[in-house]
Amino acid sequence: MACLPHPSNESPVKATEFGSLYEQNCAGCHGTDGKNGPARPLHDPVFVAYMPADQIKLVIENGRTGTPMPAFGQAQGGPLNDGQVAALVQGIESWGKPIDGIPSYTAATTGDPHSGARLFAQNCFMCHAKGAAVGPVTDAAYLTLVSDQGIRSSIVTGRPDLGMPDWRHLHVGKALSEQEITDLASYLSSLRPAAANTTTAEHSSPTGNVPVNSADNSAIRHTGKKQ
Amino acid sequence: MNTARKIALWLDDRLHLTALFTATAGHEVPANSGSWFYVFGSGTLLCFVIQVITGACLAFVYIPSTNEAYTSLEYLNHAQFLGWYLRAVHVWGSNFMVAIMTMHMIQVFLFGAYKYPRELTWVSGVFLLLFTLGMAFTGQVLRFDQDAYWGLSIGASITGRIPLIGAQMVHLLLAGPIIAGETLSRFFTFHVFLIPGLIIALISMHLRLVLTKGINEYPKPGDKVRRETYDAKYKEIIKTQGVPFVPDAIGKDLIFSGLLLIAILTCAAIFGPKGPLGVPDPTIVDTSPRPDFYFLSIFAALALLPAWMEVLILFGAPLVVLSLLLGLPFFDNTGEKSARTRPVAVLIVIVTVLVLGVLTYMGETSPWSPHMTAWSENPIPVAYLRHRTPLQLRGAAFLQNKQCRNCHALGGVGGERGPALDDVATRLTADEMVRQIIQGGGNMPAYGKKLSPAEVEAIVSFMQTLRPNYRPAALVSTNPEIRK
Repeated sequence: MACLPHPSNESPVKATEFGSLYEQNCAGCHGTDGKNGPARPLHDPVFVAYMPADQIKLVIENGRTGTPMPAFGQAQGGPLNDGQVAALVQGIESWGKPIDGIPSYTAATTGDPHSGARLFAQNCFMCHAKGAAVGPVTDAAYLTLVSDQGIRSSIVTGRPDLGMPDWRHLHVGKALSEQEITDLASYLSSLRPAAANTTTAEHSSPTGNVPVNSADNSAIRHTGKKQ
Repeated sequence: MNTARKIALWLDDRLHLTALFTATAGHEVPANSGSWFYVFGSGTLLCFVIQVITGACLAFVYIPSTNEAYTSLEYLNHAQFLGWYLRAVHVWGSNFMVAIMTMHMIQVFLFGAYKYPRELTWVSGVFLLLFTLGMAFTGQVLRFDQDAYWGLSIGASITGRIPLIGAQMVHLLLAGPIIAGETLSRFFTFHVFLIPGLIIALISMHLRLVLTKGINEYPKPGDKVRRETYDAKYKEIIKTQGVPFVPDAIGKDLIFSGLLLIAILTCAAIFGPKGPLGVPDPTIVDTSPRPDFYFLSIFAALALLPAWMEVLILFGAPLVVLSLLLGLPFFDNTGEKSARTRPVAVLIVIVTVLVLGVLTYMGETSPWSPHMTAWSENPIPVAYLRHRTPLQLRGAAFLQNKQCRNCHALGGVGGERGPALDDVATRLTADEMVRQIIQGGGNMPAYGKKLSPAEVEAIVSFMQTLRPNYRPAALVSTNPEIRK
């Protein structure tokens, strides 16, 4: 017997078990068990079938600029090593199942915003009009905070946990075609304000002070209207 | 006369062993001091002996160098046969030493044993307490891990704030302006040579005083100490009720020490050694350094102080506490000894224990520290996300992403540094939320430069939904309709 280490004092090994990794790093936004969080549900066969594994890995590692998804890869200053990212990708993949006719992850063609506007009025307006049940997605602040890819993903996968149907059921009786999805996404992207992703500091007064006066600040102007 | 007896007598004649025994272990003590209340002093001594023995063993393996200290501790924990147990006994011995010493101090205080003529016994005891805490601190540094590194950094920062001679004091503490190889050597020397040497010298003095001035008789209410009469009275007590410490009065001490030894060995076996917790690395700031339990109360007090009191408390409080402790036997030199007739003394003990206990608890749980992982691991309660607009959901995601949860709880989970946000919309209007987020205030940093206007709008739009049970939203105080 060369040694007799204390039972609770084993050398620390970094977790590579999907359950605890997910709980520590993803559950905050994507919800317990991958559902019912503010961010997209990952425990969704449609989503997993739609998003390629290498893309999931890329997004976990590098995050998505301008959206709430941060980078988790150590190369980007995040907490997770390659093995842990791989374990997460594998775990998320295990939530999927093959789904026929799922649209491609990236758009193959360029979209037509005019056609998209018509499609929006036909298929989305009921829930996403201003004052409608769910609320607008045409809102400048919202569009500033989602990526084009995010818009496309939302159209394809919907939000099963919140009741938004996926691409097969947005239009009654017929799934949206690849081109229709691309058109819709391009319409919403075209509504995004030009000066997206600037910090409040750049909006501050010439003296460098952050304005308190609501008239100077777009953020306050928008929220003020809601009252 | 057989040979063995001859040798014994010869040795006794040369070394005066019998006389030494009669004068020390066999000295007469009041019979009523053989009480369960009088066992803590010898218990503390036992802990010290354990510390010396285990410490010497650890020093065979420990390498006081910044490169190798951590590795040598890991070696002890994992590779050396029973090395972990040696470390465990050392750390539990120190925990018990501080605890038993505190009890000893409380007992001496409540029994008025510091009064005439035992002032110096008390004073040497106070210094023993200080040196023991010094051992605890230097020992914590020798366990060269993240806690040690940052604990020492904080200690050095505090020292650096001493007016005029701050820089010199830091140099004295760290053996240089920064924590480096010399620092560890310095602390090793303090922990292994200087302070233990001083403690041994002080224990000798402490025990010498117990012999010359006698052990305190068990105090009776109404039995007041008078400087003029006490010595004669004590002599009378020894004459009429005196028994030799060995073998008559030592029984309970032995039983207590035996139990103490079992307790230390058992705790060490069950709970194991402390740390080392993480490689000491100044570039890793994602850590929450915490001192060992003896300093948790100080840690908590410093963390909770309002900023303007810091200098006052940092440098004033140690002086005041030390003067009070050292001055105690001189301004409270005579009079009643029994705790039954000294309500103020009892009150002081209760208040001190409560204050230190609460502060230690606060230090252990440190609710003021951000929970650094709350943002990524504590989900938002599902009810807060039902029937929300896409923008509000984005806001909820940004609330997580921007780590608001590390300080603000939702649904009872998350940090406690700032107020919980569950009902924030009933307290703040949208404008007030924006102002608070952008400019900060109170304990909250300003996030204006870290958030885009759209992000602020999203977060605020989500926060405006946070009013439980449809309680009314906060109203703008300048709204003319309110003034009506």
